[in-house]
Amino acid sequence: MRKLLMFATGILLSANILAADFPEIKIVNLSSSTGSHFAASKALGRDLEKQGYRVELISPGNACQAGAIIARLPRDTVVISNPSPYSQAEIVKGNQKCNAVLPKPNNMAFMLSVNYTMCTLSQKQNPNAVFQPGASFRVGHLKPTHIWKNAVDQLNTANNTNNKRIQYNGAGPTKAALLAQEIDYSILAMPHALALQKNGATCIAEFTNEQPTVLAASVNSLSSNKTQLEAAESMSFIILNANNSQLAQLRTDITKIMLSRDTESGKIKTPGAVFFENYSFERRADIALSHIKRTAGVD
Amino acid sequence: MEFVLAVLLGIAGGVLSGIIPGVGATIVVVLLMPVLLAFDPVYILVSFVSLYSISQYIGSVPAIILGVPGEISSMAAVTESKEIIKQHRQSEAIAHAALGSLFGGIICLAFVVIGLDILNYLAIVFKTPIKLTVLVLLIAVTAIVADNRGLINVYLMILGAFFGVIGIHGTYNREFLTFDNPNLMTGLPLFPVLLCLFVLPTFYKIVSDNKNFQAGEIVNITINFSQVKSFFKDIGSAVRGTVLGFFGGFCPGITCAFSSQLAYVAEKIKHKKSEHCVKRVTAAETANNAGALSALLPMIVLGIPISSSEAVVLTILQMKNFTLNFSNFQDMLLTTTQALVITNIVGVLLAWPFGRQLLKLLTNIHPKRLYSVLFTVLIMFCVYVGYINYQAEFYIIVILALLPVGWLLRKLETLPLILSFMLVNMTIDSVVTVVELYS
Repeated sequence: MRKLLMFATGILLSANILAADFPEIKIVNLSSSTGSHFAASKALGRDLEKQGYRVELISPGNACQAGAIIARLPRDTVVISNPSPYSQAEIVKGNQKCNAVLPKPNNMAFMLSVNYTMCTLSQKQNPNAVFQPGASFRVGHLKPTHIWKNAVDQLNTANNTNNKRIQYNGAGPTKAALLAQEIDYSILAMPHALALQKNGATCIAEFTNEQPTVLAASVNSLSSNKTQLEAAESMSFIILNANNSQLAQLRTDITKIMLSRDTESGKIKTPGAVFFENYSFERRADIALSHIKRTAGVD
Repeated sequence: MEFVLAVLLGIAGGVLSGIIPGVGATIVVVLLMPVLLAFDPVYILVSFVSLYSISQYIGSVPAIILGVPGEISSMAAVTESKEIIKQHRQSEAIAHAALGSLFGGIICLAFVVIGLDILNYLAIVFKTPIKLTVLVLLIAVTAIVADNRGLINVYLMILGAFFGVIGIHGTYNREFLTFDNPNLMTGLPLFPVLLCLFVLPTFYKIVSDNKNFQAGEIVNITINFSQVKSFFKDIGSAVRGTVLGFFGGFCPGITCAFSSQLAYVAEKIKHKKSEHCVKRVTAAETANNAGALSALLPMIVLGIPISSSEAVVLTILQMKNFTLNFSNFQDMLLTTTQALVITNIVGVLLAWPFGRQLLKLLTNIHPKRLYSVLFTVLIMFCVYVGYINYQAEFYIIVILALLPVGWLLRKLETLPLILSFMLVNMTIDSVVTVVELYS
């Protein structure tokens, strides 16, 4: 019995010593606690745990509150965070008075972006009807207002249409509205478009000036007078309070996790996502920051 | 394992909710909140449906034997209890109520599982204007049935809405009274608000209304097969109770209570004589179990709460970063169906063969002592929840600020305030969307 106890104690001690080799990491989600950014943070946390890291996910649901928590953590606590464009835009714009958590070359770890799309359920017989002159459909979208007001206004002017904008509080309500046929079209990022397709919707076009990544067409190519609309949702992970070796190690591990097909993070990543893995960290931070500024309307 | 724990917790909560007068599903969900927060979202739902189902079974026992309404949906049984006791038919009534509840629960469950595709149409039915109507009805009906004088309910709702809109919320980021304090940006935290403004007044009322819980004589409940035979002989009452109860359960704010009353009134019209008192109780008790299931559907399928306890569960799920919606309801429904099958079986056993033991348990409780200990423990749990959310000081400040308010409201039923607090932002968002849709 004593030997058994000593063996068990030995196992426990060695497990603790092994665990102590890895930094304890706090993943602080800066976005809302229900969207895709939260899901990605949760998946990354679980994947890092499988690699032996000790991880705690903190998600207060508000960027200022999350920022305050980061500021209160001890300086040697390694933090992974996700400054999504929308979460930081309100702070950068000055609407919420607190400190922004921004991507920088010395903290950037990983970045991806997915295009916004247009889908329909009620107009499946003629999905491009929204671009036809005289069209008057309800187009649902999420925040921020200025980006989508501008997009729908431009489409209306270019195509001589009279489509009406309906703003919802997040992707979930927008999807529900499309499925309830309360709106005729939805503008949502690619992961939501794919979920809608599973529920019978038809997704017609991406908001991109380049070659569409998944769908057959771009919104600009379907518009009569060619528009120059581009909209992508980017997601980036930054590392704070890490020393150089921890930073290098985590950058490698996070990139491996995100690009793998076998990890939880890899499984939830969307077809059509652009990963920027060959870009320098400076360039990635620039792109991520420009997305935040564009969302804030201050670029 | 977590599934079993969740079901057991739900059963324990359901017994508490069903047997103790004044303690409904809403207050039990708040009591269980610290434990529920440790579960995965799906098991929070499993616990809740188990609790909801069991409380409908148990509520009939004190109602029939003691004339004490354990659950609001047992009022019909309370009304008939005098006649049942006069005719010495308590055992028969208990058996019929339990078997009727099982019949109603299982038939409706089978109907939902077989007709799963029909539920997809709920998503089409519940457009924003309908959702808004349901929310307004839920708040209005709760205020109407609340045990306060007319205008007081309006003041309570205004106060609840005032607390609810603090923070940054909604489609257009409405900001109210945040004072640039990050803690206030997500609004007042749910747990301290529930504890101070709902649990405290409710406990106070229970303790002052019940020096002890014993109201009548606990008779022996006999169990024999002839009761099963006589139940099937009068199966019509259970069938009518099932159909009316299922549809009645969709009524916002009063769900199972409405189901039960609807079936009771219909049965009373059909069977007026006093000798049919057991048939009327069977219909009413069957209906509240059928209604318990239908009341859950809008929440599980679309995340729309139609009762106060559902609103609390939904807010707990949001705290766990989980949204119930159209795309994940089928997985949810499958797990909750398994839980409901188990709880229906456990429920019939608890409400019938073990009914007497449950009543003994009730009469041994000393309300003042029980609730004082419970409230102290809950305050400690609340601070702990704040601590793990990196907001311990903020939670303590909110508790200290709201406890005096709760004490001032101690003689009132504060459910309208709480419901208004939890649903005000969802309601404002729905109004904004309806205006955009139809302007």
